[in-house]
Amino acid sequence: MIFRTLAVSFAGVLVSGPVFAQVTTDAGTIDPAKIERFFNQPGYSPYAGHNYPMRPLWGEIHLHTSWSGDAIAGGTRVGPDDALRYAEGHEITSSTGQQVRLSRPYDYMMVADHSDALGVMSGVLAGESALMADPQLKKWNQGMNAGGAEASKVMIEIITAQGEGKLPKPMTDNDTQFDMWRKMTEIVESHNDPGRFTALIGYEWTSNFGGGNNLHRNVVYRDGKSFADQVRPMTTFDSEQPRDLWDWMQGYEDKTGGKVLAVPHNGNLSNGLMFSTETPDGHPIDQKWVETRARWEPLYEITQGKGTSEQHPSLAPADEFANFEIWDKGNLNVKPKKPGDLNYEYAREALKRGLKLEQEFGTNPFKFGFVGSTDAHTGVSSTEENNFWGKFPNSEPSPERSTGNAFDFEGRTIKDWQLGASGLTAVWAGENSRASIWDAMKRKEVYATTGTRMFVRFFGGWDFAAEDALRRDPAAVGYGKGVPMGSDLPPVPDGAKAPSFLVAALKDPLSGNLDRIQIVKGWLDAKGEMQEHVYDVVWAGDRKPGADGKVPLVGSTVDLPNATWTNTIGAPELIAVWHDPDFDPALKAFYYARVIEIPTPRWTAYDAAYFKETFAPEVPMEVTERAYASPIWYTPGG
Amino acid sequence: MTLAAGRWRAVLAAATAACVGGGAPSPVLACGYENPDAVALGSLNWAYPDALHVHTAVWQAEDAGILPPRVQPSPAGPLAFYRAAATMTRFGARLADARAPGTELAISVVLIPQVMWTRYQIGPEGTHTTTHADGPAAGDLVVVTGEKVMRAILDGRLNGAEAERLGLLRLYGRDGQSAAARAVIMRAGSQDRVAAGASGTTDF
Repeated sequence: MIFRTLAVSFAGVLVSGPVFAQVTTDAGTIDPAKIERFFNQPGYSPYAGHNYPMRPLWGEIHLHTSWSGDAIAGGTRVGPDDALRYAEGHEITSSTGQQVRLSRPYDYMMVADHSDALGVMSGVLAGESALMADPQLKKWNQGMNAGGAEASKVMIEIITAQGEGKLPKPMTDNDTQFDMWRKMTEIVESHNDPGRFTALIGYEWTSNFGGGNNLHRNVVYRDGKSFADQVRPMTTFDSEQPRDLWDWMQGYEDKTGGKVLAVPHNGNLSNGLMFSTETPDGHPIDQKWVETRARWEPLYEITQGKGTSEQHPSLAPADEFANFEIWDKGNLNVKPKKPGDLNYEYAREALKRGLKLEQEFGTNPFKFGFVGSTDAHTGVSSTEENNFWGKFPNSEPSPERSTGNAFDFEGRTIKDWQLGASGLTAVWAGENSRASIWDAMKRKEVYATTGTRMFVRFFGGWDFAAEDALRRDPAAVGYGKGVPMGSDLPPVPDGAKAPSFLVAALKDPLSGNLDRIQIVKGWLDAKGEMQEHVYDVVWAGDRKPGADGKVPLVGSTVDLPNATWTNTIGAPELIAVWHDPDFDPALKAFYYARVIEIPTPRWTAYDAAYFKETFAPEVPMEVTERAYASPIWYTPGG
Repeated sequence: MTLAAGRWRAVLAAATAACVGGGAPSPVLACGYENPDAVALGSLNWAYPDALHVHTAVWQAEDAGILPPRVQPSPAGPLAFYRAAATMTRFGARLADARAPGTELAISVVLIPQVMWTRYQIGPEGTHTTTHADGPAAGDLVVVTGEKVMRAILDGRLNGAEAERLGLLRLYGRDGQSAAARAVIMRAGSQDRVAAGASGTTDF
């Protein structure tokens, strides 16, 4: 007892200050130096007192519900309340009348309905009081609820009124949109349960600049309803220019003291605008533009249902895994691309170009981490290949989606089978709360997956050693000796030859084994030209790299007729320490990890088996799921 | 009177074009028998809540053996259209004989997933059938169903009540209208063969 008392006492002394003196009690004389050593020893629990995240939180930040105008017109009946219930793990009824449930609940979710006319059509249908004060909207509400010809008559009247610019004022009124926003935040707030499930507040700002050129951004709030309700969300009625969105974000923070960030998506459908060095209206970007974009856009949605935007295979012919869920026929309206557009649409190109712009402006506007989300317009977030619910209700499970169209713009079509069951974002947050998740996003300690839930750790430093990869606590050594994904490498210490990286991945228990981990490096060479290289770092089995340095493909166990596979190839976990063999301390560079699973059946294979339908020969039936860990940057003298 | 602003299909096309945001489903410019690439099935759910549940019920009934199995590729093109039109014409003839004295009722049936409309005007003189109609007229009772369901009803393998119970057929209209339609559909389905056109007329 005496000892315990003294120990507590000394612990307090040690914590409170460095002034020590010998203490003599009836238990004897105690040397503070010995006590200090005693209390610096780790406790029995290796996790007590640690200050880094121990598990990734899973979810997404880009789900549309019936509160989006295009979703409700496309048949979506699932609203934000049900969408969030579903994300929490509950079973709901989809818009096509089917029961649907996630294999595992999400940890967080952000419904991101279009801010333009947010909830107005669903509000008219539901008879929202703010809208029903208008006699025309009241009449439409009655017609819509009467169904049948009355409802179709309403549709005609709405379209006619829109064409003539005579929509009832509440439908386009800022006050109406603001009212609906407050109702949205109320719904979201009711689902937010820190520690168990985080419902983030957010919206999509949907700029289709120039007609279908996708410059969309999702705005993610760190804050709750009381902050978010103070400022009306930006719409494209206000502006289609990203710089105006950034001004809006600044205004929000200035007024409320809250915090927001924006996440661009679908550069692959921007026809060269997303990562252009010109503004959408054709002016060269300038210092202010570069700094402002860097300030507000720390993340990029690298994968989603409308394709994956990591890298286009034509820009990286040596990258055998680049050809993954590519949508490159045109913009959002399937308007064909011009030569060269691809150079300004994909994440890897942008990361490289960011180094170049940093050289010119002193700030890198494209210094982003990676997130994945679905962009589903069904209210049903689905990324599992055997549980894929499409983009709109017309692409929810049915026999027709083997041949159906996802989009048709004047005969330019995208087929349902081209939709990807992607993606998710893993957040290395210390706790499951809005603030903690948002902070992790802001510092880019996140990674995207194409729907699978593998664990990925990625650290950079200067003194990782091979034996670090043998430890069972990669996080402890990773944070102890380096910086996590999304960070800048610390300055080169004396004597260091090259950066080293500790990368570890653990398979999703419901998905395929791991094939390999790669590190993608991009840099500016001595001439200032953009370069890239993909390194195989660690892989399953005893495969030997070929003469080209590439590890052979892992093979496939996929049984297409039965839509299954075995984990008899690949590995459940991979870990390695990798040193950059081509490092030049004078050159700017970035590194990101890409983890590849063994092939598993694509959702099309599950459909073929379930519906006993035959897909066209060109339809991919296998998928190599993957994760993209946010980059770590190296800056000379940085 | 058909809808003043034009065809139902044009309406859906315009509705789609009017949507905010990106990536709305395809506009409908023709029915799915003419152009399978041009169907905006999802739009039906907007005007007829849960209409898409019928589509799901149909393929689930196929899988359960309640309806004949699917064939691949899905029926499309002129032959499929004529078969559908013939089915709906047959049904019109049945309605003509099944109508109760004094009945005046207008029913528009939309076949999904093709979104092909057929309009039946039932009156004292008989039933006038318009297949491949522009859409429902104001005041019509709307029936959402599938062609296979209609054939099953015509062939006596399914009755209207059972089809509705299984979700294979949904009615959208006023209460009295729906009750009258249910009754006439039941009688039409339970009849033996009726000579097509015996008391009805048809427009394509």
